Amino acid sequence: MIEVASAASDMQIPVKCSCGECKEWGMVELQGSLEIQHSTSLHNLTIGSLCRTSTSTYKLVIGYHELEGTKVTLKKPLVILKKVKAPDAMDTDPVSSSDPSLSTSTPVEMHVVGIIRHKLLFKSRPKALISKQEVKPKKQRELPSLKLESSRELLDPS
Amino acid sequence: MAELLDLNVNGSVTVGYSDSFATEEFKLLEVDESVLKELLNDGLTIKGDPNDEAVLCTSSTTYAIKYVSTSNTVLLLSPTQHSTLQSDATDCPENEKDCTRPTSAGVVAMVPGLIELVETAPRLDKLKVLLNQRPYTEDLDEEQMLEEDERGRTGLYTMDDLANQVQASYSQIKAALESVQAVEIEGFWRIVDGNFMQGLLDVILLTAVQHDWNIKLLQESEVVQVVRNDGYTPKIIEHCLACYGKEVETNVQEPDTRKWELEESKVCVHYAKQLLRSVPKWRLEDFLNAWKRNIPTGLQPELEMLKGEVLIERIGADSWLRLFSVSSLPTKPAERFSALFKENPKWEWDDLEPYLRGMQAPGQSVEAMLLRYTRKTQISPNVPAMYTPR
Ligand SMILES: [Zn+2]
Repeated sequence: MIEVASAASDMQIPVKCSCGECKEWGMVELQGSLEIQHSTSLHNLTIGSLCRTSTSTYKLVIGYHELEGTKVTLKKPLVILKKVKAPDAMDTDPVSSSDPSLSTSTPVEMHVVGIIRHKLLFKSRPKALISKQEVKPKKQRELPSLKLESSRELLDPS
Repeated sequence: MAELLDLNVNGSVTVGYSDSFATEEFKLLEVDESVLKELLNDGLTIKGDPNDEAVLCTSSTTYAIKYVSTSNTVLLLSPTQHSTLQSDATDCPENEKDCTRPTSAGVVAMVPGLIELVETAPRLDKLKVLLNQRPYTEDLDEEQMLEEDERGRTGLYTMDDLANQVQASYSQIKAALESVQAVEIEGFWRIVDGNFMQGLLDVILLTAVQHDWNIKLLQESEVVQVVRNDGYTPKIIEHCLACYGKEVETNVQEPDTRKWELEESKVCVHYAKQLLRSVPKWRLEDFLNAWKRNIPTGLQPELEMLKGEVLIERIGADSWLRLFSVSSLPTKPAERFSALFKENPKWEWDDLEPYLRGMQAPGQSVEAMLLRYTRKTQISPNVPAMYTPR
C-alpha cells in the first residue's frame, strides 16, 4: 500500500513521469510460484527460456516444465511506479539531513518508470518435458522449478 | 515492449533475474487512458495524512486507492535491464531447435499485486472545517491582523494550502468553495460569517431604498461608493452582490460598470433567516405575516422559496415552522440520512426531497440511496408514502 509522508505540513505525494518518455515494459504472468532451491543470490539466475511460437502465442520452458502462453492486451494500461525522494527535499532540508531519524518524513514522489500495455499470460497447466537436457547437471543446477497453484489471474484479459 | 513482444516468430530469449532484481520496489497502478495522459503530461497527486485513507486526485476527479493482490507470479521486465547471464545457443532446448539464437531479458521485479483506482466522492468535510476556523467578519480587524505578523495567518488558507490538505481534486475544491460562497481575500479563501453577510445585505438593501435604486438593476460602482462608508471593503461588497444576485449583461457603452440584479428568492430567504435567528420557532401564520412585513416592497415571498431551509410540522391545529438548513447537513449519504432521521423519524417525499441535495456519492442515484438507507411505506394509495430509517 502507499503510505503518505507523515509530515503534517505536506500530505501530498506527487505522481509523475520524470523521464519525459516512459518506455513500455514487459510483463510475464504465470500461475503458481517460482521455487528456487535455496540458492545464494537470484541475480543473473536464469529462470527459463521463452520462445515466440506464433504472432500471439509463446512458450516458456522453466526447468523441466513447458508452459503455453498468449500475448494479452490489457484492458487498461498499467504504470510502474517507483518511490523516490523529492528532488528539492534532498539537499535543502537541513532537518532531515542532520537527523537521520526524521528522514521518514522526507517528502517523497512516485515516479513513473514504465508502462505496461501487454502481458504474456501463461495460464495453461505446465506439461512435463522429457528432454536430453536433463543430463547436463552443470548448466541446469540452479534452474528454478515451477510450483503449481490454482490461482486467480491478475487481470482478466478482455 | 522490449524484446519480449518484439520477438520475431520463432525467436527466443532467455529470461533471467537481472542484476538489479528486487533492489527496488515497484508498484503497479492501473489507469485508464485519460488518467494516463494526465499523469504523463501534468502529473497526479496522492493525498492523505496518516489518519486518512489515501486518495489519488487528477485535476478533476478523486479516486480511492484499492490494492488487489494476486497469487500468480508476475514478473516485470525492463527494456533497459538485460540479464548479463550467458546466452549461448545451447540454452535453447532441443525441441525448440527452430528458435533462433536466444538473447536475454532481465526480470527486475516480481510484484504481488496492483493498485486499482475507484472513483470516489471528494472528501470535502475537511474543507468546511478549515474554512470555519476563521470566517470573515469585521474588515478592520482583518486588515490589522494581516499586518501584524505571521501569527495573523493562523486559520487562513490559500488555494495551495487547501489543495494540500483536502482530499479532493482541484476543480472539486473550486466548486465546493463556490457552493459555500467563499471569497478570496488577500490570497486567502474565506467563508463569510453569516451574520456579517446578512448585515451587509441589510445595509445594501437599506441604501437602495434611501437612494431609490432598483434592486433588480444595481450599479456596482454606485453601491460600492456608498456602502464602503459603512466600513465595508469593495471586495466584500462585490462578493455580497454576487452571492445574492446575478450579473446583468453589461452595456457595451459602459463596460466598466457591472450591474447586478438581486434575486427575489435569495433576498426573501435572507429575511426569513433573519426572523428565524431572532425566534427559532414560529407559528406559520405569524411567520408569514412578519416575513411579508419585513421584505422590501416589490418582492413577493413564497413559502416554496424556503425548501431545504425550514421544516414545517403540524402540532394539533397549528403548523409550526423552524430553521433546518440543508447546507448544515453532512455530505456523505450515510451521515446525511442519519442526521435527517434524527431530526424527524419519518418523512414525506415532498419534505424529504430538498434535503437530499448536494450529497457526494458518485455513481449512486437518489433511488439507490433511498433503497439503501430508508424504508418506504404507504398505507393506502391516497395517502403519501412515508420514509423511515432502514
Ligand atoms: Zn517517464
